[in-house]
Amino acid sequence: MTGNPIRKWPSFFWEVILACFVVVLCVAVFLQVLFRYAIKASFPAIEEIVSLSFIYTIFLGAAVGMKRREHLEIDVLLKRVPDGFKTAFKLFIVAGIAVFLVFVVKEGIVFVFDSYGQTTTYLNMPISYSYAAIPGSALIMLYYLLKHALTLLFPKKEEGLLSSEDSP
Amino acid sequence: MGLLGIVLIVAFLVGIPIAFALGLASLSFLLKSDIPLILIVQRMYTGVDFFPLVAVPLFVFAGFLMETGGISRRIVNLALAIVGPIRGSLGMGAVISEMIFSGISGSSIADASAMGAILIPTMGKTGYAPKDSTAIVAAATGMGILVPPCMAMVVLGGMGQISIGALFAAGFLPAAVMALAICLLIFYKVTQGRLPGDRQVFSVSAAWHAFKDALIPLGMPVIIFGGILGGVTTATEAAVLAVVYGFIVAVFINKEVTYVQVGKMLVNTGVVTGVILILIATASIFSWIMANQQVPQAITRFMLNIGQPWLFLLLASVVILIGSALLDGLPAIIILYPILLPIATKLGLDPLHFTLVMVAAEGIGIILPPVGLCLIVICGVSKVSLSAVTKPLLPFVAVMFLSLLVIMYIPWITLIVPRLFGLY
Repeated sequence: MTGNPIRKWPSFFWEVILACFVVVLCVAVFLQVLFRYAIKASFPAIEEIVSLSFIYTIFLGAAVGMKRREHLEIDVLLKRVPDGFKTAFKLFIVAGIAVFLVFVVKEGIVFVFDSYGQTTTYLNMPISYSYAAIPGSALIMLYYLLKHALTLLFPKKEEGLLSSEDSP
Repeated sequence: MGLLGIVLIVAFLVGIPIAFALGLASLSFLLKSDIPLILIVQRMYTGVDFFPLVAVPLFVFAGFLMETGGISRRIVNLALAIVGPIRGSLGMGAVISEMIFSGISGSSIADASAMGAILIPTMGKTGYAPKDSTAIVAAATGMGILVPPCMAMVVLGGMGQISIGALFAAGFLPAAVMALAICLLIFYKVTQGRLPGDRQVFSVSAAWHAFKDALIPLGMPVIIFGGILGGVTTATEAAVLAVVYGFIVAVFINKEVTYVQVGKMLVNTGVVTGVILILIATASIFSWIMANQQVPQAITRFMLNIGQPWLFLLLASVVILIGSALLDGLPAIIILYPILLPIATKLGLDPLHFTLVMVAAEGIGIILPPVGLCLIVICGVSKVSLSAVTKPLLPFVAVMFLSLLVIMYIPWITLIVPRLFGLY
């Protein structure tokens, strides 16, 4: 990474949030173990924090994975596609993912609103906070897909089609 | 169902990421049915909202911490000190290194790249042809999947509601069987003059130095297995203790990891977790549809007509093996396991034994030429072409498959350790 990393932090906004969730997850699970063995007491509220941070780690992790294009795929055919068709082929892939994600966002919003009024047992936190991870992460993924599609359609001359300026 | 199959195959072939291909295929089915689409999000959520799966990010993070702390070299030195006096020690050292390293990293891809980068150049210096060293490291990596902690075991334990601790314990003896088979093949090749018969004079002080050097990294498996096998901790608790231990060792004792690196590891942990678990999320929509359409029941009826559980076990292993080669290992089991497990149980197979056999089959699948993901990673490290490594690798794949048959048809090998420790 070149330049001042502090100035660049907005481009790594989701990475920072993701790292925070992983920290919260680790600390919360460790506290659970500590309380259970050291003072022989369990705090169910911590379990709810573990659950929330875990769900956000998964779905935000998947969104950052989309930004970095790290999702597992079978690229045997893609590698054999003639260069002239590669952009069209990649756009087809982007469209396929996007179709699924649009439905996830749409149904995810319904899912969140359906849970209105339900709260967790100990923290009294709305369950929708946890459910919102799914449509939220799908929206972030759609944003990165759109960005990727634009890069494919209007490639920067010096970077070419396969560049990934998003990767940290 | 036909449309679902077609969409899935086309999506896989064109290169849509596996998790989204599963989602898209499931969506195509649901759009044609009268099942409410909200099922997509409900299944995605419930598929991953399961406490034992919390061990996934924790083991991933612990692995990152230990890998970056420069432990690979120490482990290789220790392994070579152990097998040094035996002819062909470097080849066997690769297998032993892999067993120890897998007990720390929990990820086959990490094993493949870390071990390959160290062992292949070292083996080259002692006369191993690059294709032979690549084949040995690949075989060792495939075996290493059976050495706990293993991501596949955590994921399948979560999906099948089987004790992850019991699965970890169950992996030890099958891993030893496979490692022994690989070592015997190496020894045979050495005696035939097809591999260099390197041997080192045993030195107590060198072995002691290697052991002392590797002592701190070895604390990680001690914490993990001591806790789980002793019945003191669950797999998730052992994983978080491993994170704390790894963090203290890497940052404060070895001082080989900076806070900036820790930050990057945290992000990478989140991404690896997201990439693996979103697969489970979308696969759980897919497996719900399979169950709803009574696909497992249809296969069970077919298998019950044949009436041979041993045949089912063999067929399931071959399907997982080929599926793992084509779908990068873990995705294949995530898709197929929920369909196969109920059939196995119905046919009277032990779920723990069945799950471990599936993990062993995945281990062979990920190094199967020409598409096995780990093999591709190792070939990338050694700069050997896939076609060059295929011939020397095939005998290793053959002995691994024979070991798989042994593990498959002698369930005792899998079940004795978890039963001994009261985990199953």
